[in-house]
Amino acid sequence: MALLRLEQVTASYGNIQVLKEINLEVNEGEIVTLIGANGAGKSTTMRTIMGLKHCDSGKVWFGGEDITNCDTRIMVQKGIILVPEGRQVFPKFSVKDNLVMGAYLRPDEEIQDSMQIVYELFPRLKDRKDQLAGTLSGGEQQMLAVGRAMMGKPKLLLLDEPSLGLAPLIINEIFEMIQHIRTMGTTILLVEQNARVALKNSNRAYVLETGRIVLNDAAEVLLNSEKVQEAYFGGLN
Amino acid sequence: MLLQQIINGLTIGSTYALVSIGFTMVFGVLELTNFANSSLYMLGAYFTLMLYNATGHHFFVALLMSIILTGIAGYCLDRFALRRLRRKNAPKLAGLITTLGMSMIFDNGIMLIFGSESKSFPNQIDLGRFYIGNAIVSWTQVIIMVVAFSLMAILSIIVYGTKLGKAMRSTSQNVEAARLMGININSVIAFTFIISGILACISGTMVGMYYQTVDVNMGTMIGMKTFAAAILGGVGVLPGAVIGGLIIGIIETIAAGYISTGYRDAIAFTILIIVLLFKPTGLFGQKQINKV
Amino acid sequence: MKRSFLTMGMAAVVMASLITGCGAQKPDTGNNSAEISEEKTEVKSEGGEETIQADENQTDDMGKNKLAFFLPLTGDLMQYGLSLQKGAQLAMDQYNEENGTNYIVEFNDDKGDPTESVNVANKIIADETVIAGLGSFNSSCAMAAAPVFEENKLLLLSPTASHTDFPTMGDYIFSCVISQKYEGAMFAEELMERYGDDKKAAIIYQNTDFGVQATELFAKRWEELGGEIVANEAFVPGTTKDFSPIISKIKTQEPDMLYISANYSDAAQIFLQARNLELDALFVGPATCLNEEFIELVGSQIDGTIILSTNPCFMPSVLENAELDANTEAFVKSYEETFDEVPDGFAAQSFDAVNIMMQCIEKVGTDSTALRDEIAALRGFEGVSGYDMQFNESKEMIKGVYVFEMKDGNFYRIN
Repeated sequence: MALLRLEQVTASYGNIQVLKEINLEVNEGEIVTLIGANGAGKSTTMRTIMGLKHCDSGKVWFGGEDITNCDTRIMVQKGIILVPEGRQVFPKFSVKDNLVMGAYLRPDEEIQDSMQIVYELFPRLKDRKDQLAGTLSGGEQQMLAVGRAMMGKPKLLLLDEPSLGLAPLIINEIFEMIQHIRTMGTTILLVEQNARVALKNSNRAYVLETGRIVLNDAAEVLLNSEKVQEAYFGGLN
Repeated sequence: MLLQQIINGLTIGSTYALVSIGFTMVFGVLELTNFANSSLYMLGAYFTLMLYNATGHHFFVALLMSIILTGIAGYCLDRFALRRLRRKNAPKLAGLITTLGMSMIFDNGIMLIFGSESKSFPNQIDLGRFYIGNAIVSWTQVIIMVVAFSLMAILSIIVYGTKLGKAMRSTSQNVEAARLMGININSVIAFTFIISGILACISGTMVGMYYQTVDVNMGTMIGMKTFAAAILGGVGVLPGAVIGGLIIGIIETIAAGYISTGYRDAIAFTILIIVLLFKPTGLFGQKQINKV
Repeated sequence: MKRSFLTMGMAAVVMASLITGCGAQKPDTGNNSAEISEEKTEVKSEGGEETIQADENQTDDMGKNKLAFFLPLTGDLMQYGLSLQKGAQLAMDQYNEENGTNYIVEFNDDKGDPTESVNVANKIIADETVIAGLGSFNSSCAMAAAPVFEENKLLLLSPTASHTDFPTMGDYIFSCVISQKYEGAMFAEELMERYGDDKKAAIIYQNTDFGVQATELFAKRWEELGGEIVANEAFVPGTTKDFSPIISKIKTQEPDMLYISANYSDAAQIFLQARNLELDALFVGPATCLNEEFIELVGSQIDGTIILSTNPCFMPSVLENAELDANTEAFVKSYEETFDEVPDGFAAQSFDAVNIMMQCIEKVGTDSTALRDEIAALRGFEGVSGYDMQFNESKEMIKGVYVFEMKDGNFYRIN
């Protein structure tokens, strides 16, 4: 049974249908990527899973349970945590306080241990733990956002455009972390405009075009597919 | 005379501060200008008066019940009017107009029930006066200031020292990120409104005791002043609201004493404008630190 | 679906408010909300005699037998209009009873709106049975209607319009209220007579036309009589609650007397705060304080305060304690019997207005010009709203001053 399953999910903004009967699956232990052009509906998919966006029809299943249109709080409780597009750290809190917020729904005793794990994962955060999050660099903020999400001990981690606005070296670092997180036992679904990096780091991928899933295969296959290359890699390889 | 004016200014300023805090908190958490805050202030005073008469003059019982009622009023304002707007993703302006409308409903409701004349208000803390140099200080004033500052201290502890307080502060920084942490945003907002109501109620009651009267204009008068105080201190910043309230209270009292009563409000607002010219985010406001 | 329901609901609410709104604003001129004075053509007679129709005899040769009032019977000033109405009705009924006549008082609603007053005035002058017009409650309405009366040479007597310019609007225009021109000066004289040793006065006044004029004239006369004005501070009424800055400032001047012009709620604040700040002076307050609400606000905290007024006070506590002259006692008693409540100053004023008119009509008949001269010659009228009432050469009303002192939270008349 898949950990996460979207079944005929439809969502719209006003009269415009943005997601048109999406079907996708993420199995435990996988890294699955959703790629597509701007406006294809990638972020909307994430937000719909997370309860931030209303799902008009269809169902979202998590671990066999129907979580369609539940409150975001419940998603977090059940173990789905989203790292939103644009990082969205709390700028006036320190790195440490941001991390503590990530464990909001967890018992206080477990916070210290979780923080240790995150600091190991992201040593740079440990160095800057008292710095105000708003003053961190883009890459550091991304790490903080991911670390904060990890504080919640997610079963499924959703990442919305983790590479956005980051330098190539940093992007590599981030994706190394993502791999590492997977080995820690967290399943990952990520959404990316930078198709090449994403596909290189995933098991499977879906291609989303104007709200519809048009391709669905192993990441390697899609990486080498000419169609995908033309459309999403800008012709370069 | 200067000392006398300062003491009077501090007293009235601390009542402004209490109401300002509620106002600034709602703004911080919701980015909403709550025009109904000053109505809660008047509502609180009138509730206390009504209950005082109804319970056969048991003041503190009346005050307690009034605090609860005003807190509920604050909650209802959010729950039944503003929450719906949030759910429908209405533009911020709709919320603002709603609070304006609710404010008129509250104010006129009180006027219909109580009539437009001033009403006498009991002063339970009239314990006499004493001198500091040439200035006369009444115990009423002292108690008002002590209560106000204690409340501010308690509130600071809640906001900066508890988990709920942290939730409030995260919500005010980034509401979506806060939601993603699993925070129940509606509860946080409701809590903020309830606190606004409680603070406004206590402030209104204390001012009622201080002047020994309440009237239906009290809300309007204080609305503008606390709005200005919050902006002066940096809207959304708690200590800013406190300092802003005190400054406005002192400035307007001194202006009334040394220049003219007619100009007291004009002078207070002029100071506000001057401060904003030099520091647009207010005395304690910070520029938004938001790198993407 | 939900939306159209909501729209219908809102439409219903709007309709309902329109209907009730219309209803509240449409009393006919001539109708009024009180039970009294339903009749325009009946007369109260004793002993169950035949009811007499108005058109029959007992009106004079010119067929006139009506005093036409215009006043606010609806709107914000409604309560005052009703008081005026009751006083006038009582006066007329008593007069008719005593003299076996059947003069009529007619009451027209001007809603407290000057435009409406003009409309009503036009209606009144077109009515040939009218001897004279009386009204309105407030100066703006009375002054709006005055030209209509003056042009048509019909007498207009206002029971309560107090604007100094009102009597100057024409030969046929009179007011029963003492002009402010004289009130301030008379108060100064009265105070100087009683408390002549304490010459330093501090003034706090409300920043309205009324407040400015009232205290200016007081100050002028006070200084003419040898007094000194050590402070003269204005405030904006209704928005100020904290008078301590002004009071502290005044305190440094060490006045003997604090004289104020304000409405009763502001007056209460000023006096209470002055007492709290231990301002050691005689407090002198305005007539607006002579009511229950003021007493409720100050209790017995400002005993010793003096209130000056050119109208008597009808508060139950004052009536109990004062020695009333026969006229006032009779007035109060019959008013209480008829309306089951204590009269107020306004009812007293319209009572006097009607009686003044009737006294003059008795002497010279209903010819407007003769009446005008007779009223202008009024001297020493002992009314229930003042003693020694008379008109001076400029047709302005002069009457005596009442002095009240507060003791144990009650007003006592001390002159």
